[in-house]
Amino acid sequence: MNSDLVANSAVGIIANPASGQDIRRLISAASGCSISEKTNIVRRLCLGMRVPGVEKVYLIPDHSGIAGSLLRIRDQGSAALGENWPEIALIDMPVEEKAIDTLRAVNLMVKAGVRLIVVLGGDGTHRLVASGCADIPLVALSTGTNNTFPHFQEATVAGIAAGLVATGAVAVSDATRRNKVLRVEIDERCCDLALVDLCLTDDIWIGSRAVWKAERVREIFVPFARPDAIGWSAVAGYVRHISRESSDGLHLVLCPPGQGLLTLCAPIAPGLILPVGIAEIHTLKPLDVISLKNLTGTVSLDGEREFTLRQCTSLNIWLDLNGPLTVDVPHVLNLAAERGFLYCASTESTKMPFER
Amino acid sequence: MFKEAINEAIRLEMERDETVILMGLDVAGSAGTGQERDSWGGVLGVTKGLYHQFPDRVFDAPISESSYIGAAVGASACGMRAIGELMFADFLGVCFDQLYNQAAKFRYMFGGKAITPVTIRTIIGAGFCAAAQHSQSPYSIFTHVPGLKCIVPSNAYDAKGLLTTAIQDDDPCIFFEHKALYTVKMEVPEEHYRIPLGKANILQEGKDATIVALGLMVGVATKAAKQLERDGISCTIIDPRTTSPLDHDAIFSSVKKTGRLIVVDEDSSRCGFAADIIAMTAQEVFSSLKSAPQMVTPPFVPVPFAKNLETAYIPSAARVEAAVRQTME
Amino acid sequence: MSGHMSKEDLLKAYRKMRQIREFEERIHTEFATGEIPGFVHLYAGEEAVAVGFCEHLNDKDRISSTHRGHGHCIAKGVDIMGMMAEIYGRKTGTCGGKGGSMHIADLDVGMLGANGIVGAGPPLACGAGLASKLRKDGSVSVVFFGDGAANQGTNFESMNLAVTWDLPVVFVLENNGYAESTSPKYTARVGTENIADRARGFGMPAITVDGNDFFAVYEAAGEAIERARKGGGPAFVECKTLRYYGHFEGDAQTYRPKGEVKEARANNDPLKRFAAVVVAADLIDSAELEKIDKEVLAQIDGAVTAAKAAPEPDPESLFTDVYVSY
Repeated sequence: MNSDLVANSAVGIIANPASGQDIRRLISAASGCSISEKTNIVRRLCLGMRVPGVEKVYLIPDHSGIAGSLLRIRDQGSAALGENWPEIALIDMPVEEKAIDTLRAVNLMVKAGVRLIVVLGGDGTHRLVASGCADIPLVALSTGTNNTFPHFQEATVAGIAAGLVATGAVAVSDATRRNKVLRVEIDERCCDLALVDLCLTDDIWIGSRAVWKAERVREIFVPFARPDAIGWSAVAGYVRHISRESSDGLHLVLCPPGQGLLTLCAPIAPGLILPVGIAEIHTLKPLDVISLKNLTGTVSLDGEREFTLRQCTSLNIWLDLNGPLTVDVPHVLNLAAERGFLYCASTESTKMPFER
Repeated sequence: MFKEAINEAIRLEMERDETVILMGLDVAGSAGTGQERDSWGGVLGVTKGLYHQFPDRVFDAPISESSYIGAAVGASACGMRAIGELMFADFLGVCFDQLYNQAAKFRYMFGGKAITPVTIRTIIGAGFCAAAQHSQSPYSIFTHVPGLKCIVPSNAYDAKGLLTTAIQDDDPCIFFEHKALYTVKMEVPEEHYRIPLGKANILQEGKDATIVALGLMVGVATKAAKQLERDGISCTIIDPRTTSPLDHDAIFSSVKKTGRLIVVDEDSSRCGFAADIIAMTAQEVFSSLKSAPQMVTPPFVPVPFAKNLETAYIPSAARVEAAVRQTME
Repeated sequence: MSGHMSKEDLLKAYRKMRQIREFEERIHTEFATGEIPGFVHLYAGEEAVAVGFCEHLNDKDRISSTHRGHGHCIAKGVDIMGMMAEIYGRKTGTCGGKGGSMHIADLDVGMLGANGIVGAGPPLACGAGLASKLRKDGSVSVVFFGDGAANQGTNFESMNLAVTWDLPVVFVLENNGYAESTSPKYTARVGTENIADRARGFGMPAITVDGNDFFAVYEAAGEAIERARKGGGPAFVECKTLRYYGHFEGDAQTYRPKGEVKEARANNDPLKRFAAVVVAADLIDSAELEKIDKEVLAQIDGAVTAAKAAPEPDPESLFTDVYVSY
């Protein structure tokens, strides 16, 4: 491995303390991912990344105890256990316990020159990171509620893969794939994006953010649609399978169950399965702008109400093929295994590859 | 038997009033394990059969005295008449706040707008080598608290009548049951009856000395009085039945006649029931006293384990007899 | 539920929040004059929590509260004139001047009492919930407690009891970041600030919401309370919020970052945020809110004047109401 690459192999970690804590645990059977578990996941990531030689990790600070517990574990327990950690640098920024924390941390990580960002969260967290990471690849790990964008992946293994990409052992071009996104423009400003779904709802406020009342959802837009997804994306997936690689999206207009073209039974949230009526089905083509006016209600992005609309609001929505890059963890590890990157230095040695 | 009298009082009240509920450790016993539904009925079988008769109103609680005794208090402030069973009075320490700061004070703090008709039943007393944390008789601590009523029955008849009254009473009551009395046999009427709180029972009247005793100590005092009788010393024995409210008048008027006072108490000697009775008597009827009143209590030590030490700890008839004789000198 | 709150409901909720704010601001001012006896703990800044929950409750539903209880009392419908007189220690007070700030209770409207003991509320609320369950009248109980009380054994025991007995109890943690002066991060290592993590361990659903967003609280409260009413058992809602004043009046608050409250008042104030949402959605215009502000100001003014003029409790009342009968 090239030692210059190793020296510049900093990785960012965004661990959203609020993911997996929202109202969906009350209205459905969604699981929660505790702060202790998130801390443990970050620890495993760090240990995994050290294998290919990542030396520095930039971590988002928080007031919920992830960063604090992690450093305590490193300084107290882990030292005694002989664990090998990269340097951990907390991003120097105020903590507001809001979405702005993630956005701010991503921007500062980009400035710090991280090679890659590992994200712990659900679809909502990934959306925030995607809006600021430009072409820095993401390792998308699921700790949220409706997880269609990120994957459940053991963090140790994801950490090794992240390290292989960050150190350049596996090239970004070999390791990643490009994702589609939906872009949204409100009153010709305020651009945002959705990785998984965009819904127009009848709610009059953002409130607890989640969208779970089927009768209030009027339209759904998705950049891809898989029937094995969870959330509003699944509704689209039941109508038509649109892969992550294809250049289409889907736009559905909903109606009360029993009316319209067809009625589906869709898993809106974990354990919450509701009938949904479909009135219209439209294919979205890249850069075809859907303009909407005279709407009231809210716009939800990736399952969370984000904007309220007034009568005078104009809304533009389009499919963009140029979304964030994500690391294909199994593929990276296959390549690394084929190339022998994970062998110890010699058959007699138990030294890790980075100790060579 | 004493424990059957308690069971009967609870059963009759639960039949009579559907707001009466019972909760505690093992009060149902084995419910939900797929075994016989009410196999145990409490650690000493006192509540046996009640779960079977009132499955919706008898609750096995987790071993979390703070929460279930607190819940008994809360339910009672919300229209129920909860009976909370605390296995041993020694465990009152675990849920002290719920009684001392909550139940006792609601009515006063809330300007008379609350009633908290909760009854806490609990087991007291030494004599079983159960050592320092399962043998105490801490009724004095609760007598000390304005807002609580404390009941210490000495026999099965009184237990049934007093518990009936306690359950019906609108104030929080703590009902202290001496474990040595549980299996004492006595004829108890089957029907429903009440004994008022704050009304002493005068077991016998004598001219020479007044012995005040509670719970198991009533029997000890009676035994001593019989021995003294042989020597021509006749005693009045007063069982106050309740330490709060207290029938002062029964004690004062007896002391006025006898001029001598002996208090027999199984609780700790300091700031306790015996000290309280003697202080009150000294203040109110000092001029009637012919000699210094005597306390017969355990020594100021925790309850010991070894049989010989425990026997020495518990006030005996011999000590009561000696104390009476001392007042006669 | 969300989107289905009528204009009347919105105005009522706003009025309650304004009443709490004005009540507390005025006590803050009056306390400084030395006329208010004892300790007071102010709820200003946390209004969205009490009102967001209590707007879903009726008089049969019960709440238990804390030493910081004025907000819960007002939200649950305790008479404001009586509360102010009580805080001044007057005969006309809710409790006849015998309870004071930390013990205001009104069982007729389901207010089981503010409480001077940290962590005393959860067991009582379990009892209230048990009474509801036995009466089968669909009532629920809601226990408000703080991040300090979250470390009390009574709270852990009660969460377990509520799950074990399947009680209609909603646990509402008001996490204002300070247990008196100490941050939760120094007093616990599991679920340090996301205390909802702990509640899940007992087997009940637990969520965290922005406690300064009335609408987030209102939605979560509605779901949790509805669930309990239907027999779905207990739930836990952690509301992250901030108090504007010290632990008690007179607290110098040297433990707080400079500007924390100023920043919150400017950018994260529950009343301002409420107003911004309803005005932006064209549901209510700001003149209507200002009218409520003026009315509430006059109401609180009247309550203070009346309290100051009210007689002290009769000396004989020292001896009354210890027992129903003795």
